[in-house]
Parts: sequence; structure tokens; C-alpha cells
Amino acid sequence: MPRRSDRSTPLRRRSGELEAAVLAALWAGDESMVPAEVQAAVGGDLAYTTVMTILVRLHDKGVIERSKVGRAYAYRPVVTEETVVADQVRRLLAQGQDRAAVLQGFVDGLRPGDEQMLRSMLAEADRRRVTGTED
Amino acid sequence: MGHLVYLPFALTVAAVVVSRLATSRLPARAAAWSTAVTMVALAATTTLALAILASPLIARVPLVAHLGRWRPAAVALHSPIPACSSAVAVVALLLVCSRVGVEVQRLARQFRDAARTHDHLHAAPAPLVVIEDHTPVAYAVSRATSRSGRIVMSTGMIDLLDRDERHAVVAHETAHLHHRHDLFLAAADLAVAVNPLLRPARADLRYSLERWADEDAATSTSRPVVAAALAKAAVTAIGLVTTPGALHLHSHDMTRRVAALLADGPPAHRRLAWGLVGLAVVAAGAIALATHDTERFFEAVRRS
Repeated sequence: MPRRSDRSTPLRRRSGELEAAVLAALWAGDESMVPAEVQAAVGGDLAYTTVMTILVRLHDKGVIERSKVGRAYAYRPVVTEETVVADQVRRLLAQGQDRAAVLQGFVDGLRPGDEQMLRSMLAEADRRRVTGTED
Repeated sequence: MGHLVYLPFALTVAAVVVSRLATSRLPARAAAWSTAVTMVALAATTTLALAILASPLIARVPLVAHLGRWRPAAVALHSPIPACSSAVAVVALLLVCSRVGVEVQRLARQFRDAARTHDHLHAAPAPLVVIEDHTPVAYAVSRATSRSGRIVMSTGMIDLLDRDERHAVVAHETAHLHHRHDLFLAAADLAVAVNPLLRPARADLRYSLERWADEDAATSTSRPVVAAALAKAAVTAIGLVTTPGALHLHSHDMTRRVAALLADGPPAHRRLAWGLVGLAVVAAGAIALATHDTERFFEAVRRS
């Protein structure tokens, strides 16, 4: 039974995650990025052609814009109308009310006294990532 | 009908205790499913129990007695349920009705807001919308009717994380959308409106849903990566908090989640899930028997 539902739509889900990853990589960069830079910034085993496909798709959707750099295109994200709406939602979330069932935030359930413990656990997580010991 | 009819209330208290245990002793997915199913079942059975307890008093209302073809005096004389219990149950039933009404309206409004936000965000059909804000924020918005949705991330969050951690956050939010966690929470909200004793279990469910999304994200990255992403975002968020009330103060949820990711996989006390669901099954059985007894009682007073 585990993961059954994951197998039914792996492709669609995966392509959505990839688009998000590419977009996040572009936002993380300070300047426009050529596809090779995007490929490096996204990481993983992503093929160059896959990155190209996603970039073209995102450009068609108007989420990113491009400019010619030498013989290649360099891409950067666009601030769209949607970001304004998203920001309004964020403000709503920050009002301290119990989070609505429909919005699932990443950071939740914090109190200031937790900081010390979180810092030591962060060090532990980083140590494991470096040594590659998992689970 | 004895005391069987009171059993669902006692089992609700037991379920709240077991669901707390489930958050740390079950894989998150199993904990979330068993908690949600049990909450809904116990909300339903406690409502039926109230209806059964209230029935002798309701049956004495002249119109009801006329339709049921029994004498109000006979019901009062032979009822196995103390009149004071019935009176309390009637009041409780009225409260439940009004609470559910309010909650349904609130949920409808919430889903409508979410749908509107989602549709706005949908205009640019990229799965990720980035907002320019230095606070580390990430959340997912969906329509109640679909699995797909939009993920929103702040530039603060993006700048804070490295590429693997960004991927972890996206995978975490995607898991919320893909597994319809919004519906789990809405069901739990309704269950709490019906039976307020279940409120602590709702917090446990929410924690389990976050853990579920964390573990899901770990399968496409790794557990230390998700742990690092969570810890970084949390530490930064704490640093930015100026008033203690600005963030949701649900005890140690964030630290617990990071600790769970750094620990070995969750101990698989699968039996606990069945124990939790078992409580709901027992409650349903008790109510079935009590309903049967109630029917027989009314048949008896009709003949008398």
C-alpha cells in the first residue's frame, strides 16, 4: 500500500517539482543565468536538454524573461502580479492566528527558546551530510 | 441499554492519549491516517450517543409522542436513562448543531479564500511563486477539488537554503498538495466542532502531517538535508521574531520534527495504529448495540 498513489502520477508530479526547482535556482542567483549555470544550480542528475525544456516552458508562461548573452540566452525571473497576491496571503499567515487548514506552511510551531537546540541539530545535520552517513 | 452508550465518550479520552503516542511511535503516514479516521469516527459515534441519551426526553414532546404512538408518561416511567442525563444530552446536541453550523461556514469561507488565492496564482502556471520578502516563508495553496496547487516561497527562504535544501522545501510542500493534507485538517476541524474533547488530537494530526511531508521530502533528497532546511528556516525565523506572539506557539513542533529526521527511522509500532482505529470500532459497536436497545425500548412503550 505505501507509495501506491505516488506511482500513479509520478511524471506530472516530478515535472512540477523540476519547474519549481529551476525557478528557485533562478531566484537564488543574483544575475541572469545561462542554461549551463541553471543546470549546475539545480544539481541532481538533470540533463542539459531537460533544463533547456523547462526554461523554454517557463519562458512561454511568462514567469521568466531572457536576454541574449553572446550566442546563448540568459534567464532571470520576473516579478509577476501573482507574487503580490502571494504576499497578501503571507501577511494573513503572519497575523498569528491558527494557520488555516488550506495553507500548509513550512515553518510552524516555534518558540524563541528552541533556538539553541535547533542550532546544535543543524550542526549535526550538516555533519551527517558531509560524512554521508544517513539513517 | 446499560452504560454502553457512555462508552464513546470514554473512548474519546483514550483516543486522545493514544494519538499523542502515535506521533512519536508510528510512521507519520500511518499516524496521520489512523488519527484522522479515529477522530471522524469518534465524532460521529459521540453524536449518536448524545441522540440516544436525549431520546427519552425528546420522545415526551407531545408531537413526537403522537407520531410515535406512545404515551409520554410511559416513556418517562420506563426510561432506563436518568432524566438529568437526557436533559444534559439535549443541551449538548443543540450546542453540537450550532458549533457544526459555525464550523462549516468557517471552512467554506476558508476553502473559498484558498480557491481564490489559488486561481490568482494559477494565472502564471508555474508551480512555484516567489515573493520578495526576507522572512523565510514557504507554503502551499490548493483548491479543495484538486491535487495540484501552487507553492509559494519567499526570497528570504531561497537565499537561506542551498540547492538541495530548496529542493527539500519544494518536495515538502508538494507532498502536502499531493496527499491532500488540507482535507485531513478540514475533517479534523469538523470532528473537533462536533466533539471538543478531540481538540488535542487535532494538534497531533497536524504534527503528523508535517512529519509525513518531511519524510516524503526526504525520499527525494535525504533526511539530513530536510533536517538542515527545517533547522535553518526555523533559526532564521526565530531571529526575525520581534514579538513572541508573532509565530504560532505550538510548543516544540519544529525541534521535534528536526530531531525525528536526525533520529533513526520511526520505530514501527504498527499495532498502535490498529489500536487507535480499534477504539473507534469499539465505539461504533457500542453505539450499534445501544441503538438496537433503544429501538426495542420504544417498541415496548408503544405496546404498553
